[in-house]
Amino acid sequence: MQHTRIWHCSRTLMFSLVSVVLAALIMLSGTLRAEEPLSPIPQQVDADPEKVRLGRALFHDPALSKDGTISCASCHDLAAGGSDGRKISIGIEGRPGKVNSPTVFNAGMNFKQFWDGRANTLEQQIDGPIQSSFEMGSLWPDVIAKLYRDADYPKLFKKIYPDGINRKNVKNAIAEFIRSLVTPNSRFDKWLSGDESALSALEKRGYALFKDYGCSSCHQGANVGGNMFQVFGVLNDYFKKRGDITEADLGRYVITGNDDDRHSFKVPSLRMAALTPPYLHDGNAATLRDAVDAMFEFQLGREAPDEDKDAIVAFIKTLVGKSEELSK
Amino acid sequence: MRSGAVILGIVVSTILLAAAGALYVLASNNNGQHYRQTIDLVRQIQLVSSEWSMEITRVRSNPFADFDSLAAFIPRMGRLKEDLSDTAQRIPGLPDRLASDIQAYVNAVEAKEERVERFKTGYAVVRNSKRYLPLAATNVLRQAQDSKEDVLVRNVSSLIRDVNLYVARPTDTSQSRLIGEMKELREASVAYPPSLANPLANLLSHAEVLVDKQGPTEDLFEKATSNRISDLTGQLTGNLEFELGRKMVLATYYERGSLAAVGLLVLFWILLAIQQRARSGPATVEVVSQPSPPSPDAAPAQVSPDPEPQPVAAAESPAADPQPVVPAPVSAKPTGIPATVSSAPADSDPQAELAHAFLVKCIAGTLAASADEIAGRMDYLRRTQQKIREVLHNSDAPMELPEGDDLSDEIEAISAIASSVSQKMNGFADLAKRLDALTNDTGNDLERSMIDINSCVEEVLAEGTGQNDATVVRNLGEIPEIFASKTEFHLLLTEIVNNSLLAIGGLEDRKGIVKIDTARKNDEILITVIDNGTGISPERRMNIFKPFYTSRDGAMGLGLTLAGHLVRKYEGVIKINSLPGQGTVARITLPAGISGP
Repeated sequence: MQHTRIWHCSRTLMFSLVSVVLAALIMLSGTLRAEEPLSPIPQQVDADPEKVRLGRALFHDPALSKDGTISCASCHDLAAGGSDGRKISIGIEGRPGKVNSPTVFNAGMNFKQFWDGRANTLEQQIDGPIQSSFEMGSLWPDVIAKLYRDADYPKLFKKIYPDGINRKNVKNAIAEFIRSLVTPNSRFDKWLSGDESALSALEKRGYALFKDYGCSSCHQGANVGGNMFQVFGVLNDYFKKRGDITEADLGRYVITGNDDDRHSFKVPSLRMAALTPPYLHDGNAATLRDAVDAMFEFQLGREAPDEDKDAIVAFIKTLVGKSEELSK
Repeated sequence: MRSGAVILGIVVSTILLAAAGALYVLASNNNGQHYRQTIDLVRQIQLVSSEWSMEITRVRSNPFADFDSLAAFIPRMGRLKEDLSDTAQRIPGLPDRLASDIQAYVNAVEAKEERVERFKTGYAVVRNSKRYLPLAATNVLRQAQDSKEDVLVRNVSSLIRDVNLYVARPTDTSQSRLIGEMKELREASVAYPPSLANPLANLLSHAEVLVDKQGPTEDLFEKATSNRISDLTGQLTGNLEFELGRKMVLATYYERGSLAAVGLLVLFWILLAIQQRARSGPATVEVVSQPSPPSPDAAPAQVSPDPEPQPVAAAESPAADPQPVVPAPVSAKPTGIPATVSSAPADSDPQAELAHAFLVKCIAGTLAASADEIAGRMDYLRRTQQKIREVLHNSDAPMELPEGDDLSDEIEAISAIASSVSQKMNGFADLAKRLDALTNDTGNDLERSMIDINSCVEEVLAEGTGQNDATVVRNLGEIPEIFASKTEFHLLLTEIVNNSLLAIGGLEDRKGIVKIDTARKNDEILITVIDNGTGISPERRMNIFKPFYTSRDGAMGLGLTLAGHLVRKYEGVIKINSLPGQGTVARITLPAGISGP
């Protein structure tokens, strides 16, 4: 009897101790994560595999453009990091676009779409390039008609969407595919998860500088950007220096008409930056180092030694994660 | 049953069923389901808005916090906002005032989104400069001390102190002082070597950011976390709940109306059956007594005393007299209407025809009113649909349109339904008019002659009091004959006298008395029927002339309606006064002038 009571007491004590230690560990780990302005990309994405397959086919299909020459992938080359490497993208009949095409990787994690954030969802965003006269130049009824005439699409759509091919479902399938384009398991994410060897000393220093210089004031969160708007030229006037201001340079002002939004843009994600030169909305920064220089001059209003900027560039290169689409 | 009655039955059934269906649909549309969903969504939005404000406060308290959690509210709020707009659009007959309240609410949510974004943008810059400022100051002070620039050291130290004070508590006075200090330092920096001028320029840039944006960012924070949506939520849910209550009351009325239409239909068929049976009774008797022309309707085989059928005569003579001669029924009504004096066809009871026509007229009137109301509501639906379509067409940004094709189809479908129902209702209204006209014609067809109202009173009393042991007191004065339909006057007096007889029928404490006066006063004939019966309550008295209003089981509630109608037809006035428990006075005043042909 006595034996049993002691056993009970010690068991309760052990249980309490384990609970306290576990709670302390959870709290400690929570505190550590909360201190970091960046977080890892989740491993799992909530996307319907059937829709992703259909969306992938549509994403690569030039039939969506007016003259059948341009697909989404023309400007968002997945193997090249989700962008086209051009300063300004080229649409149908060789028409130049207005801005540099951003990567589609991790685009589902952006809080809004387009440089000026005029679309709240990926579905809304798709209307833009499909209908824009200097991108794919199509009209939805024509797109739907072309898809109906195809040998496979009617069956594929019917299998997933009871109401078959229509504008809403085409957009949903493409958006679902883009949502699936995430790049977890970057070296930086491994380091964030506790793998000290994942980053070199230079890269770790680059991350420390990235925080100290204030880059992480705007480029933060899991997507290292893509969750807020910021004025380009907070401390120095970029557009005055560059000249030739276009409508696209006005940024969000075009949408809201509010003076506070003049030259305000969605802060781009830096996750795939290493693979997607050139940079900035106008594609004027040819290399990562150019982009970092521009940020120091116009956004941070600070001078920094070259070795600090190079360390930051080295850190940015560790943000590229893995995706099957990158190697297809 | 005669084919005319069958056709009438089918027509009335169709009309009543359609009215019942339409009322049922209206009741379903008014069940308030969409209102409840809307209220629920508004409350959810309020909840998410509060959570959002709390998250903004949390982010602001942590200089390292990222904005992912704040950004995650956008799709959440976006879905709720869309659901709210969609649900509100589905509310049938949503009052314009409420529609604009809901739109204002959606706009307030969008304004909050904007304010949150502005806060994020401003706060990111401010928090960066706040963190950098001490480092920038250290750089400048070190360089200045190395260069023995004591004035600069003093000025920079003063600037940093003032900036920190301003950041802690931004005021206009401290802001203008800081602007002056910064201007002096910037002007002085031209004289310094680059090793000192550059760090000083960096410091000044960030100090300027704080002086420029600290105050506005505080404002942005206040605005982003403000409780405007809470205020609007209370107001909007209050208005929605009020409207929901109103809809529930309406739905109850429509439901009752629908049930009443079905009840009316059943009653109509019962009455029709009774009437047809009453008709067929005397006909059968007649065939028994006059068997010569075999009637296709009657069943002479069982009742005829003549066992020999006469097929040859029947076959040879139909052209000569195709209709069996059926005299007027003598016992079709319990009140015992005597044989007609008009020239109406021999096989019909003019009083029953008249009552029947009046029933149809009442139904037609009720139907026309219902059809009007339903058509009015459908018209409102069509106009609302038109407005939605215009809004959609005017929205020229292609990507901001809701999923266009499907929605357009739905809107067109609503329009088509509204038009179709309106068209049907117009059809019903037309049918009601024609029925009304038909019954008017029937009534007008009754032949008028010079009739003596006093003898008419006697006849009615003779029929009515036969079944009752009431004391009837007559005081029939000298009144002129009038030019009118005896059938109609017979029916009018029957209804009034019957009501009095029924009122004294249930008396236990006293003997029932009915007193009938007729008199001439100047150019008017007065007919007064007084009883000491149960009387009529004031509430009932308000409604006794309304069709289908009755307090007696099995009655249709058309007797006094018909009486009122007939008195009006002869340009008279009928007044009924009553004291519950003591008795009733019915006074009919007719112009004596109607006596001339």
